[in-house]
Amino acid sequence: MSLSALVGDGSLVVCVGPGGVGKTTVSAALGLAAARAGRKTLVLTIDPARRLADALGLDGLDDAIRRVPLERLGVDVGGGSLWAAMVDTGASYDALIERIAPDEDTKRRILANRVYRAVSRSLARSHAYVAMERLYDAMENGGYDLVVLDTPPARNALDILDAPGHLASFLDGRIVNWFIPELDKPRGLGARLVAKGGQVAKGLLGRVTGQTLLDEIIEFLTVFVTMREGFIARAQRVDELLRARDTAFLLVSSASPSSADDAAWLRDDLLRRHVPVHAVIFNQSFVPVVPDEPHQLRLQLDDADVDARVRALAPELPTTEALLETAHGMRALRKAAAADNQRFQRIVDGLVAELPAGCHRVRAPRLDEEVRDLPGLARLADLLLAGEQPG
Amino acid sequence: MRVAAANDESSPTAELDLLDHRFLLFTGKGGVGKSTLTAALAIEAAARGLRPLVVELGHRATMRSIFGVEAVGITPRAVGHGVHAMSVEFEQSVVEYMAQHIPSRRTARAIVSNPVLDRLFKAMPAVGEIATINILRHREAERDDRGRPRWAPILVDLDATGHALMFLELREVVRHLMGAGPMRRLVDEVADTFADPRRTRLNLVTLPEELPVSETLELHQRIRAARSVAFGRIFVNRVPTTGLLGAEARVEALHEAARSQGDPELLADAVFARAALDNERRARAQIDRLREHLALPVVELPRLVASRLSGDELRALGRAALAPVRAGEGA
Ligand SMILES: Nc1ncnc2c1ncn2[C@@H]1O[C@H](COP(=O)(O)OP(=O)(O)OP(=O)(O)O)[C@@H](O)[C@H]1O
Ligand SMILES: Nc1ncnc2c1ncn2[C@@H]1O[C@H](COP(=O)(O)OP(=O)(O)OP(=O)(O)O)[C@@H](O)[C@H]1O
Ligand SMILES: [Mg+2]
Ligand SMILES: [Mg+2]
Repeated sequence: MSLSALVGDGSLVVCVGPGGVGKTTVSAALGLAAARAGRKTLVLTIDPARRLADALGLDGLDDAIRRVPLERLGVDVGGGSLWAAMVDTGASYDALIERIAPDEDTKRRILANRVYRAVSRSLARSHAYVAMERLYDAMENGGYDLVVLDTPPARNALDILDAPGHLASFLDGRIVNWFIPELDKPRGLGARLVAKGGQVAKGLLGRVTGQTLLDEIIEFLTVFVTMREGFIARAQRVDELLRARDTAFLLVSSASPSSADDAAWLRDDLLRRHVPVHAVIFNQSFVPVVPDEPHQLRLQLDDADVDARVRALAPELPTTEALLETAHGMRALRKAAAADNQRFQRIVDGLVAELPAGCHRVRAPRLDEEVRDLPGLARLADLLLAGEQPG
Repeated sequence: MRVAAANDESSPTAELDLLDHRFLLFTGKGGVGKSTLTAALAIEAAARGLRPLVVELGHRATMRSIFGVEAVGITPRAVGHGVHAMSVEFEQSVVEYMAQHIPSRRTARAIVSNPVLDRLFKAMPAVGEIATINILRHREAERDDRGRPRWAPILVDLDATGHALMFLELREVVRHLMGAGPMRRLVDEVADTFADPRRTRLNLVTLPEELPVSETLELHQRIRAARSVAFGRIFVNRVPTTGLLGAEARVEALHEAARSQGDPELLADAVFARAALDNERRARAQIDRLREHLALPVVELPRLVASRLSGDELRALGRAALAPVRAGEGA
């Protein structure tokens, strides 16, 4: 499925990639492209990307899903619409607890627990988990045709694959039994050994972290364990969602050597996990040097006799030393850009060489300005859809 | 003992030598050049006779690729140019931490290799970060046979902003979470080192673009308010230069004449030059904005060609990064 087909027919697109390459921008541009194709589209970002709100013309972006004012773009989107939200870890976690807590008391105790607060507020790893939860909820209940998920940089991007299992493992039955054995009195020999392990673990933890944390952990587990089944079941469904056949992972990279290295690492990691990479998007991977043709990739400029050309303008523009110097400066600048494109090309080729067949390649140029409003996003969207390279 | 909190009076001016600190921390948005700059400064530090150690957090393998070596792991290794580097992975550091705190090696091994306990430690709040600063503290404490610090300075590539804040705010995070105990002591000790302006400086790396600059200003505000660390320099990386500033009128004249005379190639050059000049002016305006708001040295680093940077280029970048500059006017 080409990128245009994906935008028109896909149901979940996940953008992963190294830092700063343009994941958030590309996610928003693809979301916009889908909305313009008449689809109800949600862009969900995990990144605290304030610039995305600005670019979408929203005064803010938070946990609440907002409608993007596409009318400002002045194009007819038919029945399409674009929606956006940024996962706020704390708020999303609290909402999750609201959804699955069996009663008021459990809810209150959890929300007040300090381990819970630390886990839900300040830790990157739980960020990924709750984002997946949020995604699941949006996909189940939001009625969107397409959801585009933007992820944090590189290494964390794959956290989203591990995330569902992560919390479930914290609530692993054996861990819980260690800490609160009275919940489940040890009976057989195996169970007694487990309980003994628990004493060792408690003693150790107490020594390393102090008793305060240990007490809070026990409280946390005691309350949380009542919700364990719910958590594990949801984690499983999120995992299935991510691995569903029509979920498309897009690997976004730029053409700088270090992001290409990171992207190669991600590519291999995804393949190792049997997650098919639908397409690689080389964003900002060349500088357009042909006026009015921003999608044209030119790697070389012919030599031009700058002196002769400037002199030929003489009737209108008298030739001076300074003028010649400026003209040479201009030429050198543009030639350097073409040479840069050539270097970028080699890096792109290196990354592409080891992609499985069937993985699409898309190149988008570096635009003159940062992409920071709806027209800018629309421009990038067009360039992305036009940037598909022959396989 | 609590060392005086980092404050602004002690912010470095041109005469302060950045390299004299025990820890130089680097952070900034994704892809701005933190790792490149960390490596560049380490190379320059080594060239000045120091014993720099680069610490990279996470399995990014960036240092490996910058220095072109086989692998960089948890043990410092020479990577060329007189620089040593190491890479601290979260999970490995947890293992090391446990091994150090459990009296019997055998128990330590048993615990670390017990899948259930292992998972518990990895899932526990802040443990990975604490284990990482544990490693930093150990490297800091190393001495050579003459009793001098084995590593000076230790340059830490803190990675993206969120990650950096997690380290800088660790004391706050664990404050309500941990009673007295070795973890709490460790966090306090390292937080004190970070907060001591004579020992640690945080350097911000950014690009001369509107949003990166805004984010840098916000980050500066937040850290300044928390007083968890003193600032070193602000590095503005990849500053574009066209060499055509001052020649705008001639570029316009060439543009105009090439169009009316129908010279497409010259016209294309002029169109390109115009866009590049706009870009350069926008960059200058953003750098001015940083200087206006920050009372810190703002250092501009040129945009180099887009290929892999050589050792010489990195060293030149490191030298430029240490050049004396005037502090900005900001409050
Ligand atoms: N094709 C492009 N041309 C010009 N600028 C671009 C392009 N794509 C993205 N940008 C700009 O690059 C910067 C980084 O983009 P963005 O924030 O989308 O990256 P990211 O990969 O999401 O970063 P992070 O890893 O920090 O989340 C932004 O200022 C954005 O406007
Ligand atoms: N001054 C410069 N001129 C040209 N290229 C540069 C410059 N500084 C860095 N680069 C290039 O930019 C890319 C990103 O740099 P680097 O990896 O150091 O950024 P980073 O901030 O550490 O990124 P990440 O957030 O992914 O860790 C690299 O390919 C590097 O070679
Ligand atoms: Mg982003
Ligand atoms: Mg880096």
